[in-house]
Amino acid sequence: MAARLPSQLGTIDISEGVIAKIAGVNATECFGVLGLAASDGWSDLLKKDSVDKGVRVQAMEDAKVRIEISLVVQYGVSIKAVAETVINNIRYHVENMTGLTVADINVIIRGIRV
Amino acid sequence: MSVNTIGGHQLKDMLGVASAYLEKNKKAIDALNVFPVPDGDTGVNMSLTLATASREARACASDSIGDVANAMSMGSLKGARGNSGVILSQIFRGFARGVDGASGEMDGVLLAKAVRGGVEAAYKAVMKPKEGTVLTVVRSMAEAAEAASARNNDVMYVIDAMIEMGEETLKKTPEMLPVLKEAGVVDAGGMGLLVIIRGFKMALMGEPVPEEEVQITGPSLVAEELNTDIEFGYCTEFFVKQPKGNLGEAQVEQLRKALEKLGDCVLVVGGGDLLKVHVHTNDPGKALQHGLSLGYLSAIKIDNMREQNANLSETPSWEEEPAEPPKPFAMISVSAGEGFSTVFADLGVDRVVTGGQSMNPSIEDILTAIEEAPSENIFVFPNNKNIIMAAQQAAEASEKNVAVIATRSLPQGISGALAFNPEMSFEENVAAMNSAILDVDCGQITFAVRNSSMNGLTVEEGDIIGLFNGDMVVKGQETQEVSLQLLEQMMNEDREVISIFYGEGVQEEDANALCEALEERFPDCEVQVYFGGQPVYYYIFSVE
Repeated sequence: MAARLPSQLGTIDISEGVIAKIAGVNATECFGVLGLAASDGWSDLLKKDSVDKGVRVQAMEDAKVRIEISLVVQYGVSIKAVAETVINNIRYHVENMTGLTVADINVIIRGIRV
Repeated sequence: MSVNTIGGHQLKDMLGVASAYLEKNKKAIDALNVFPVPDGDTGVNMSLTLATASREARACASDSIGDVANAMSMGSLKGARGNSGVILSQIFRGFARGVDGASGEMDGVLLAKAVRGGVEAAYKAVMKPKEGTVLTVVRSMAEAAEAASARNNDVMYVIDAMIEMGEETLKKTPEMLPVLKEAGVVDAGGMGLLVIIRGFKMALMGEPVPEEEVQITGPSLVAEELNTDIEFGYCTEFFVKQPKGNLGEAQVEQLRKALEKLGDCVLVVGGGDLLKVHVHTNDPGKALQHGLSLGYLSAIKIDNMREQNANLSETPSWEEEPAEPPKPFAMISVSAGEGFSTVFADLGVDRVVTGGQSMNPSIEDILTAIEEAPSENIFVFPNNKNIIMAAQQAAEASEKNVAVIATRSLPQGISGALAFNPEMSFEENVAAMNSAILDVDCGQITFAVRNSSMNGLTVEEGDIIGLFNGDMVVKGQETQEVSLQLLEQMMNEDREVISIFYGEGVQEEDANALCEALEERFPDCEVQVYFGGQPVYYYIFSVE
């Protein structure tokens, strides 16, 4: 599935995987985020290669997307502040790089490293 | 002054003073941010985080250093805002772990250990630590603290070493992060941390928090208003000359951004080895300093606009010119000679801007003409390729509807002005003018000021040279001869009119003699002589 942007002569389709990668890369740059998490959050920390696991993107109408991202954070950080930074960061980069509008971002803290 | 150790009570003070100092400087730190989001408010974020940390610390009943540090850490966690707030909270967390359980007071060695703890906690909490940020600054401070405490266990000595190292590292952050270098700023988070440590020092020295904001390599923000009308009082203009010729877009942008923080009406034009700079500011010295960072200064002019304003309103004998009724269109032309100015006036040009000897009016001169011209819709003829940019800058700075017709010579300017038709719309006029100026060629006769070689011609100082649309194409010893050669190159079957503008210092008889010679050589052509009065160029020819 792809998010669709209309253009003058046709359409621009951006695959959800692409948006997921943008979200993933930017989330991991936020302070306090140790990594992205798929289901159980632990086994994934061992293989740090893919930057889009743990990110779910849903393309909606009107060039909008909904993003859900699962994170592992460091113990002792303000989870609320980190989550807000992640949300702002993802929204800024997805919107500016793709031209789509981010309708929702939901952050799930799946794991915490002590 | 030496302060051997720090107790819990002093830590509370240090946090309080640092918080107040950071609060005062939060806007200046925000101004360093290079991304609009997410961390556009580093100053505000760090300030709020620190404020909560300080409050919690003060509320702590105990005065033991370990307990106060813990309260500070919890408070910063509670109040953490933004990326920079979270980093700060981690630094404090590591710091608190470093002093945890310490009995008595904190000496230099323990301070260094605590700072190192802060660094480790901070680095641990991010997947990809970025150098060139607050992380680098705090790490360098930890190294400095460790080295200093080994030499002298006095806490003040260690803090001084931290501040010195922090400043040095902060200055290097643009080298580590390209975005900082491009924007010409140091890292905001690093600056914030430095402000906090300076605040700690102030508390230990018993100094009050200074009223002015901290200087961040120059830029300072809003100045007091001495006069309700003029916000930035000194009109500061100067040239920056750089013989190496390496002033590129990046330097121009950097200078412009630095000046924008000092005041308004910022204009930086040019490149290569020469920049022209203009700014209205209350800190002309700082503006000059910024210019100095790129080269040496020349033709420096600083006017106190408030004084000028005051003088004007005090002289009632100054006659006011009767206000001109507004017109739908107005034309402004740059002129290099009296004769040209008359020609333009005859063509209906409303304002003539004279550029002086080098035909180089300042952006301010052009802007003044634009503002004075009796219309909201204006056409500007720069008449020289070096002035086109200045005219465009002036056009941008004005709120009127201004079109710069990119004329590169006076003859082009004349033909542009001729193309004006009051019956047409603004856009139609612009199009007509732009097309008219393409159809006229400009020849110039002048003398070489030094030996050079160009376009296959070797020229010695004092030779007479002829330029065709700005390119040197002929040279010789005698103006009439060179003029004829030049026109040979410029003429073709389509050309029907040659206009000769003779400059200051040229006798009218000589110009007439040239005219006759041209009529003879080009019998199908109409040849006219006009007094141009321009300096430097004996003759300017317009061929169309």
